[in-house]
Amino acid sequence: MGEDAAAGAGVRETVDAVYRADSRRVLATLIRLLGDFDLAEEALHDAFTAAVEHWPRDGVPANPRAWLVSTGRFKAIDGLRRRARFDASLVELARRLDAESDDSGAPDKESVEDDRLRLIFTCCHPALPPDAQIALTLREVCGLTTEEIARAFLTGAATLAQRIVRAKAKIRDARIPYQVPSRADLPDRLDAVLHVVYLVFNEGYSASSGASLTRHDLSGEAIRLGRLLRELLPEPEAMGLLALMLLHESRRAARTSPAGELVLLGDQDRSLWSRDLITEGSALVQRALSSRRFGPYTLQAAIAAVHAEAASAAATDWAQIVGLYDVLLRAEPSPVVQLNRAAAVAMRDGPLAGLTLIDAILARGDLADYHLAHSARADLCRRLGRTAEARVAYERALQLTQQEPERRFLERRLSELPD
Amino acid sequence: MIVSHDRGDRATAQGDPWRIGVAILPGAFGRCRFPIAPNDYLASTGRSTTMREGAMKYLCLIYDEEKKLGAMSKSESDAFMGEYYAFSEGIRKSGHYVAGEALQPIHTATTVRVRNGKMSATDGPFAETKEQLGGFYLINARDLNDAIQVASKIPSARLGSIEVRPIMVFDKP
Repeated sequence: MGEDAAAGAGVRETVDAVYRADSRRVLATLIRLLGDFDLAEEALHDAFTAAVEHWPRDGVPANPRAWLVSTGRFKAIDGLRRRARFDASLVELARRLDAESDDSGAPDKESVEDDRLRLIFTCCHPALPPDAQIALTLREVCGLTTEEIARAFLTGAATLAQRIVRAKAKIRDARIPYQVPSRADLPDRLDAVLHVVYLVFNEGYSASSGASLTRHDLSGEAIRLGRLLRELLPEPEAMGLLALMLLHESRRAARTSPAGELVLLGDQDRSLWSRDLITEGSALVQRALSSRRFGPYTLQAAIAAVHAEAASAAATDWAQIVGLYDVLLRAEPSPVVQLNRAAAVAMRDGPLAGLTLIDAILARGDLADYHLAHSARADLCRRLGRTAEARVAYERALQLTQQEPERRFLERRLSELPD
Repeated sequence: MIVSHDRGDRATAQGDPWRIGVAILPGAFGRCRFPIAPNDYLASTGRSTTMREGAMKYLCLIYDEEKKLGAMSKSESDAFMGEYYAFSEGIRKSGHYVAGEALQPIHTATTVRVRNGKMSATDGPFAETKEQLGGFYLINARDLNDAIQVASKIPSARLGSIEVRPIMVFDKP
């Protein structure tokens, strides 16, 4: 009895481990086989419930994933048959799903990986609203619960659940296909997927509002997604995005003081940077750059790599960083990139050169409400000794920021200004 | 098996990570399922590429700026009509075409309502929007991606916009 219980607990641990490692793969394949998100989620649940029941008695199957897929599929068809007594339209569906068993019974590795890509591209389909793409990806691809996603985005769980339900309804009713885009559509569609991953990472790295500077879990999920994409689709920009995330992540420990205060790049203790992540990120940047098909993510990663490789803030190769921003501006001519370039120019040529550029950007009105534009202006004015202007700019930045650590940082800088 | 009318996407935390509360709307299974993709980028497994279900119908609503169309020269407008002619021919040949018409301009529109048994017919709608409904195509498509491909080739997609709406299918009573 005691031995049985011990063996049962062991199997239970195996089931948990298989769930953590493989449940998203099983789900992705079940969605393809069953053609429906909800039906597949239910089948996944039933398959793991069956595993808890059968594996202690019959032993863990040689290929647990294949077992779960076929069990889930069988349970779904069985369930449809039972429900068909009340809904005749399910008879035909159950028959059709059953008939398709021969060519999809034992999923080979390749088709399983295809299924994971299908799932990602479907969750990030441009016909779904951007909010829903993010929520659905975290829910279906990463397996986060609705509550976890809601907490991470400071949204009500009910709102978030509604968003996911609506997205699934649109996938079903408008028939968004469960497929990886054709080669012709791939660049655009991959951009959309990378954008979702990037937004998730940013939300985790520099939470747009709230008391805590970073929400580590979201960054971790984004990096996991980035690794998955790079593994499944060896496109340079997928590599570039993963590199960008790893290089930013490498500085996490140095970004906040023990008291939770924001520490700027130039003031960070570089011995806290993760060498492993920097090595991995820099190698990916090199590979992406050598493909000559790189884009904005790779360029941003290259800039992050230049920072990462500088032994001290003073040793930073600002000329190279400005050069990379010039290329980035051609690829992605946005005012935020111009602002970042201006900050790099200030480091290369002195604060006045940077200030002239920032004032030109602000004069166009593009970033008038962007707190970082005003805090960058404030910093350059401070360094030029133009205290009154610095004060006005810090105050404007304070009005615009919604993030608590940034607010404290700006207040500190404001209070440090000479009278 | 958890079956309920509530489609909420709640997780029921009972200690087991896989206990995800799934709620299913009975009767929703029968329609609109994923077809198997015939042109997958990585489709390498030689699985059947037949569609699980037949084509779906989508209505492509064409929104144009009447002002822009009105400002076209004769030769521009002839060229535009020529593009429409070629497009219609193309989707007839590809099997997408079901129906399609152009509408007379918005000033010819009449809005009809019946309230409390009383009919009213008024001029309009006086749309304040920049774009007006100018025509439609009803198409057969494999899925939304296929429908989006067709819609993107409608000449007005470059000047105005196309709203793609799946046609509702009712179960037989």
